[in-house]
Amino acid sequence: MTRERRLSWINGLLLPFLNVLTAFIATAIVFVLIGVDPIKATKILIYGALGYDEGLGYTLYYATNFVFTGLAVAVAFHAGLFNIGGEGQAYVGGLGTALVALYLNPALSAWVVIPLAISGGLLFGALWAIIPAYLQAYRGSHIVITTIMFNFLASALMVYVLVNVLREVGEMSPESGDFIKASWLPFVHDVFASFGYKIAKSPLNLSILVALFFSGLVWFFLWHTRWGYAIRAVGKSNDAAIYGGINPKKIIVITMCISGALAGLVGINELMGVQHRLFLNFNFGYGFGGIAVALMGRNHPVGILIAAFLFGILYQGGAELDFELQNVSRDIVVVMQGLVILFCGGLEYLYRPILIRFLAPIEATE
Amino acid sequence: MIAEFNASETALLGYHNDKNMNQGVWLKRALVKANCESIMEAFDVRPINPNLMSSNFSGGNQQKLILAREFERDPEVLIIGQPTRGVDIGAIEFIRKRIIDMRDAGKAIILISVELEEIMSLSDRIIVMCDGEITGTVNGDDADEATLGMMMANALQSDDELKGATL
Amino acid sequence: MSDIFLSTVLTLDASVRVCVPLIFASMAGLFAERSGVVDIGLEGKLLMSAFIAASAAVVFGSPWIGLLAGIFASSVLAMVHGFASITYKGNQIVSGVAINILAAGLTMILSLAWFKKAGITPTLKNDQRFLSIDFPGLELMDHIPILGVIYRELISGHNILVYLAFAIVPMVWWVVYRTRFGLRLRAVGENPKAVDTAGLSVESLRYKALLIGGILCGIGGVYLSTAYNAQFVKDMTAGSGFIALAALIFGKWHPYKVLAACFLFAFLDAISIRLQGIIIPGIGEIPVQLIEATPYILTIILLAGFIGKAVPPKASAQPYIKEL
Repeated sequence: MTRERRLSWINGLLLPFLNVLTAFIATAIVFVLIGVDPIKATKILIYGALGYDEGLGYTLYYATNFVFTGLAVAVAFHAGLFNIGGEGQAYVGGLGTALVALYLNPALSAWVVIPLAISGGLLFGALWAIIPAYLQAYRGSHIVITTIMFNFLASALMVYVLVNVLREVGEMSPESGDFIKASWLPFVHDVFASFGYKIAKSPLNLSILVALFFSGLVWFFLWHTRWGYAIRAVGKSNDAAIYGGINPKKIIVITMCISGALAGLVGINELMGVQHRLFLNFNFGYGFGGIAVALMGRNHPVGILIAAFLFGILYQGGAELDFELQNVSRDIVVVMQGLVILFCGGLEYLYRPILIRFLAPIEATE
Repeated sequence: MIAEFNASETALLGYHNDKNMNQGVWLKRALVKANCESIMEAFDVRPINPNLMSSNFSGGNQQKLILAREFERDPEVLIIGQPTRGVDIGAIEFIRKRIIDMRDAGKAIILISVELEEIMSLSDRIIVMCDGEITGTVNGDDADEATLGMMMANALQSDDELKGATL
Repeated sequence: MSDIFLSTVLTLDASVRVCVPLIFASMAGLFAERSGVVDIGLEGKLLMSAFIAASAAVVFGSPWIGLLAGIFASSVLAMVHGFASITYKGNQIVSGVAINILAAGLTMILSLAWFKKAGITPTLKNDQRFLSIDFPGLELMDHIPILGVIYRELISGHNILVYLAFAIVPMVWWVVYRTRFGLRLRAVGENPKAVDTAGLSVESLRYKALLIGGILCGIGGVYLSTAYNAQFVKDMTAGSGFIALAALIFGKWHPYKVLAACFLFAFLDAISIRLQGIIIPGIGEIPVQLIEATPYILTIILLAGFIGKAVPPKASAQPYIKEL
């Protein structure tokens, strides 16, 4: 095997694998520190997430959200942008979905309402990303800082809208009324039932198909269109992109809109799929989770699907842990997210020098 | 050049919007690869592997890949900076020959270089600049290192003192 | 009249209390960013320190041990940040985000493991907290009309960490602008290569800056759980770390201006509680959310360059890679 070949193996496969493994080992150490047997915990976790129909349904349902936010972060990464604003874009995207699903004529067919409601999420998610994008491209304000600020603005805006505008008269809790029936995405167990198969009830709904569709679309867009090419060129080398006749400012704005739109789809799963109304903090944690998913999935849709599934397992399995064991809660998933971001992101190159030294030394004869 | 792009993607830079590279929204990747392979062959870029990361080519081969990209497009005007820097001797001759061929085909080429010998052997006309101003223009055949050096230092009193200088 | 005066003084007093963690965190951020390391992890460090301090204070029965433990916890996170972003040249923002999420998760997990309740520590008794200090001569000053109230409510009656916060700002200024370390710190944030060429270690300077930041941030967290409150509660920082980051930008990385920004943002926070439900003639009721969002809006407008220009240290967010 040539040295180039070995290097690409190390960078492409071995290194990410070791990074994820390290994050897992670190989590195991946390388990030991709090007096939980990590092997027992893993068994409970895996069984809870994959061991039975309902658990698997929940796992896939959580994974759907992570696919959306993971793709959002990844698309931005490809243009060299770090979108921390997934949390806010998902939140406001949900508002877009809700507005369509609340106020459209209830007599309309689902074939009209559902695409419109999805577009509402895409549009509002993109809108929430466009100001930070514009400020980054044309005024030089750092997108990380502005998207953080926009997360807080989103949460203030949503509290205001839910409390003062969308809350139904006489209701105490800040949530909207029910969406019109035509906007409800069917549950997977209902779909199966209509074909005569009986599976356990779970919140898993047809959003998962939307997630798969958009994963394919992102893959196609990034690697098989001239726009995807331009985005990747800007991300890899701004100067070379300018030389190649690409306008990085435009690309920044377009990419962030796509990224925000993808994050805005979280509402499809949570609101159209399960809750059928808009409520506070439905987006909680998925925006940041998306960063971990994107880093773990190496910003590639296939990797993101795998990573999202893994985080789905952790979310659902974590709930099971919560239930089964006294001294651990599902917040262990948050710890794990942090560790994944640390080892797959911040400490991405931890093992690189040592691996290169032993597996692909520079040949003396050349 | 974009180090983290593979050779075929680097060879596409600047031309990704071309009509024949796209079919609707679809970027024709197979065509991009085939094109890359053929220009690599024409310019003797080694190894001929469009999937190899650009940064994994040697400096000389990277240089040849970039030149191949621009030369094979057959432009009317070409601005080249330091075309032979870091390239091995055989390739230098090859690149210089391609530049001359292009001139012979009636194309305008602006060559920017620090190597006086290269400039003198390739150019029809040499323009020397110093501090952002043109300090002299000579025909390639008439130029010698001393005059060019004087011009570069902006040390010529007047054009009359320069034998063979034309304005 | 006296009502309005008193409520103004009380609002200012509340601002002072809210301001303290912002000051510590933003001064911590100032050191980090002046050295060329962007510190998104302020929030996580505050939270972790608040939790560890409250835990240690409960277990060992002393706020001072809590203080040390909090500082230690925050410094450990700062060093993790340094290890990833300085030694391994990873993305500074990614490791900052990791620290925030890690802290959010660990505080929940550890509180459940240690105290059997997720996201909460036992309430601290008075001798386990930093209590307010009454200045001498309160009775005497009470006889003076306006100054008396100001002295009693605004100046006296805070705990030691509050006074420390306000004392630390001139100290930070002095260190950054009047010492050799400060000069090097500013240089390494603007032009690390020059510092390296002068024979100084970029890495060691950045580690030092992060360590100072870890200590300062730690004190801020300690204040939250053992002085401002009497226990740790889930997510008690509630974005303070990010507001501090906003104040740092708003104050253009200058200690006194940052202090002013912290105070402005704290004042907005204090006043938003008071303005709830009050109808301003001609405008109507101001939504509380709008006032809460003001620090962020102001920072965005500043960042956009519409009021002045916020120019961060040149080398911030760039790992320094030595050329061979």
